[in-house]
Amino acid sequence: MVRLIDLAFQKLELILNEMSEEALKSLDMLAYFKKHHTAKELKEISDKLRKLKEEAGELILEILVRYQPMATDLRFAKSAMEISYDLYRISRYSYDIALALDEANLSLDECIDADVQNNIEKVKSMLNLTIKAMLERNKDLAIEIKNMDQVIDKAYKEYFYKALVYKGGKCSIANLLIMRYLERIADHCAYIADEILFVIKGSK
Amino acid sequence: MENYVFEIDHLNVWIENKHILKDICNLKIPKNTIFAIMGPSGSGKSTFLKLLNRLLELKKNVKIEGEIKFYGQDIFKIDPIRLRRRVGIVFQQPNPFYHMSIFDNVAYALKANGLIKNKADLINAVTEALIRANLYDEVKDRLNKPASVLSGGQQQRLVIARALALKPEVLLLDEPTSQIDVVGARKIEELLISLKEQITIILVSHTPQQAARISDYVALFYDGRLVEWGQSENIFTYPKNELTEKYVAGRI
Ligand SMILES: Nc1ncnc2c1ncn2[C@@H]1O[C@H](COP(=O)(O)OP(=O)(O)O)[C@@H](O)[C@H]1O
Ligand SMILES: [Mg+2]
Repeated sequence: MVRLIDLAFQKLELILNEMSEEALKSLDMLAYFKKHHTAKELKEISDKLRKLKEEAGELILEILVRYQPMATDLRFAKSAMEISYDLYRISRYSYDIALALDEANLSLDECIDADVQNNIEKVKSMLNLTIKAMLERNKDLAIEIKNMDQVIDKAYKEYFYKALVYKGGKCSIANLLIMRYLERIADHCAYIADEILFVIKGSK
Repeated sequence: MENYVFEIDHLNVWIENKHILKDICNLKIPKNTIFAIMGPSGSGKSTFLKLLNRLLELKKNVKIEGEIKFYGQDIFKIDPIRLRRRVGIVFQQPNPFYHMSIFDNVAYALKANGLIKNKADLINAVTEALIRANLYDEVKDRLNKPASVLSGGQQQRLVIARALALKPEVLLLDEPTSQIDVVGARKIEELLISLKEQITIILVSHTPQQAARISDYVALFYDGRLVEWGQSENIFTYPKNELTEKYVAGRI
């Protein structure tokens, strides 16, 4: 017999899946950045994810009240709350990147350097893996994601110190901002990886 | 001095040649806590509880092997009557003496144990027990009414008052709220929490949710075996054993 709580979890997983797809799409859209246009679309996605996060939160509260979950169920409910927030933040940072480009009146191919371009791809594949790890509750993948986060962190720091000495005008500021946002997105992927490990292993 | 009220090791029990409790090892009940025991029906919880104040031996054809220490002392070397005064027990079905007055239900326990010398002492002791059982305010105007006028939850608290009157160090409770309405059950849960500063409570709980609400430690019994025990927050959030996971998550 299927447990009542599992029916509710199925609904929750649908929401998380939709959020994952949208978050991924938001990073994807940066690759096809169009002035003003992309930022507007990304704002819509980010607003949508904020609503979905609220929806997930309400559903999780309902699950807690109705079924008083324990053990893995309890850990999953708690993690789903965190993960929905992380996914929303990821879409919000994508929007911030588009805003930064717009405000500096840049387009991606105008002055975005190869390092940054490269990092966008890295973070995108990281988010892809994160979503895969989440769906499969895959411990090894989660650990891999945490390692990738350290690589991105390091890339950002290096870029930051390079930018300090290199006077490159507005292009350099925009690049640095984007690197910074990508680093934050990678952090949220790593947080999700932590949550996945928490659900699987249950160690504090 | 002793941090553990009971220490149980290598415990086996047979009733009518049937192996009921199977090699319960390294189970320790810390002092001044609520220690919950959960498990499906027939897993040996009641048998275990009745062992702790040597009520089980009153049954025929019971064979017990292994070690049970009460404050470091072998319980089988303690006079059972004295042990039962120090380790009270409350059962699932409230069992006051229905025709006896509320007052006498408590007074009877004191008199039967020869604990009271005069009337004034008796009144004080009964009042104190009713207060400790969080029942006094509800019954103080009708102490002479029979216990049968009380609600199920009140009757259960009366039974707890009767046990408390003997000033036990440990209170064993076997599914004390399973026959009681929600409000009555909540009052009993609150009462148990208020009591643990003074005594140690070992509670067989009919739902993991109740155990999660009020226990500090919890053990899972399954088919006569001790599956896992530990601090409640750990067991309910991060159980180590797969059976525990399944039991608390309602998968078995
Ligand atoms: N007097 C008895 N004679 C034979 N079997 C008994 C007796 N008392 C209990 N049992 C058996 O011992 C097992 C554990 O019972 P019990 O301790 O009452 O379990 P629980 O309290 O967990 O429901 C059950 O299988 C039950 O049938
Ligand atoms: Mg029982």
